[in-house]
Amino acid sequence: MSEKSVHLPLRSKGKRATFYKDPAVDQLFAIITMLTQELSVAFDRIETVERILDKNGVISRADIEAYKPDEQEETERTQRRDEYIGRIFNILRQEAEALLDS
Amino acid sequence: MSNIRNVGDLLEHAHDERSRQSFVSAFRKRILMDVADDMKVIYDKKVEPKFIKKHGRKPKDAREVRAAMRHEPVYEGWSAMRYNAQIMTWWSVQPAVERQLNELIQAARDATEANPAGGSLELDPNVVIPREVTDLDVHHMPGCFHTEYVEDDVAQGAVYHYGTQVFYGGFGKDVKPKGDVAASIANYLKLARPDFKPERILDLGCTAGANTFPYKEVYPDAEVHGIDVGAPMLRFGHAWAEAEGIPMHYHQRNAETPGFPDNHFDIITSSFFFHELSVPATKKVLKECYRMLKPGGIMLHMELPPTSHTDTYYNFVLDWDGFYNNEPHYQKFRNLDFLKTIQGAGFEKDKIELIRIPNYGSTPREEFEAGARGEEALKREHGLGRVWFTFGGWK
Repeated sequence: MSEKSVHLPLRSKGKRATFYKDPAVDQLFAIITMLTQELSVAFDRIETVERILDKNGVISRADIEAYKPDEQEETERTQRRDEYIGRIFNILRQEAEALLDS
Repeated sequence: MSNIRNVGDLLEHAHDERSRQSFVSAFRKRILMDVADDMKVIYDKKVEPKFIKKHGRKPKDAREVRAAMRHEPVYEGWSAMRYNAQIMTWWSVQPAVERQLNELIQAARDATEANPAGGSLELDPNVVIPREVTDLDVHHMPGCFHTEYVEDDVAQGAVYHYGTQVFYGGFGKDVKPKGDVAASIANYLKLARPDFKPERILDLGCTAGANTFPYKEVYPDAEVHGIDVGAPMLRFGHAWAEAEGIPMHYHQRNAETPGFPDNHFDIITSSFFFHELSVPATKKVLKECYRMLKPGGIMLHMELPPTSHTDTYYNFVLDWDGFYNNEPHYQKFRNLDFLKTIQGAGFEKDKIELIRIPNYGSTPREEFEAGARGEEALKREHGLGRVWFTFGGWK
């Protein structure tokens, strides 16, 4: 069996869409969304560390990689993510909220 | 029981990869839907009244709605989020597929060799891959349905299979990788026509087969075939089906020139397939369907609802994919006159079917059954996967 390593492309074929008058804003939007994702990942990792420490008092990297939240914990994490994303992107929601209030 | 590894669930994701996937799922499920609701509020309370004031009437089509919404911050924001979420979906599974590609390929080879379920895989290296697939990466999945990087490659099949699960909400227990569309159509047909006993079923553009499997479950005596132009999809789909113990017959063929005999299939179906085709290709494929269908058989394809079936605002929301999701034929397909198009393929007018089938998995069973038997109108609205628009006809 050939053990070639494959690198899958990240860029999709076709024109990249822009939604703002200045395409730089679209690029910034992408960067910010990716950053938001990475911060969410960091949150998850800290939570994993805390949960393992709570339970075992000691920790290894392998413990972290192998850790899978149970259903209850996954629900809590999902809620935490939802609220977190809601806070970061709240600006997009304010106009509709104001219209509903008026 | 076979002990081959199942390509459908063998992928191991690292802690942070799972976390990225969960983020994308949460992002798609919550904020995108919330902001979509906001967008409707802004349209109803601000944009449409402004339009009416200026033109003395409501917007007459999705194009006018789009022109009026195009530079609203809420539309720009929603679009940018949706676009990024789409791209990040595939990115969230690619690293794990890259890392374990050799294992996936080996598992697929083992499945093909052992072939425990008795299905089959027919690949044709000379198949004509249409421009619809080669020109653009549909759904922004880099590499599209067909690209092969190594021998016996299944990478794109795996990216599609695992990515679709992220797209539809994560790797939760309640997420069934097998297709809701096919389960809905198959169960509907079985209830609506209890005497109809299909022997041979064909699914067009079947990708990795998520929406092909359910036909075998609902009609266990039937032979179920799927065709697609993408070899990595079919290899993956075949290995997955074998590991699941479901005999499926996959063929690498182009639906425009499928090559099966006349009067061969009792059911010909597809899901989310035609809107990726050009209109001339659509017409050609429908004619092929009629040719391959047995007299007394049915063609029933699931698709986006035609423009004439949904309201102007909803058309504007649906057409987003046509502009931004690398699906250039989407709007032209939705604008077709379906009755005329189906008749043009050879079907008689009074045998044409345009049915809105409720989603089998999420509709109360009694309501689904009453609807299928025609005792109750199929009343649910399209949208959010609650009901599937289907078109076709009996031969």
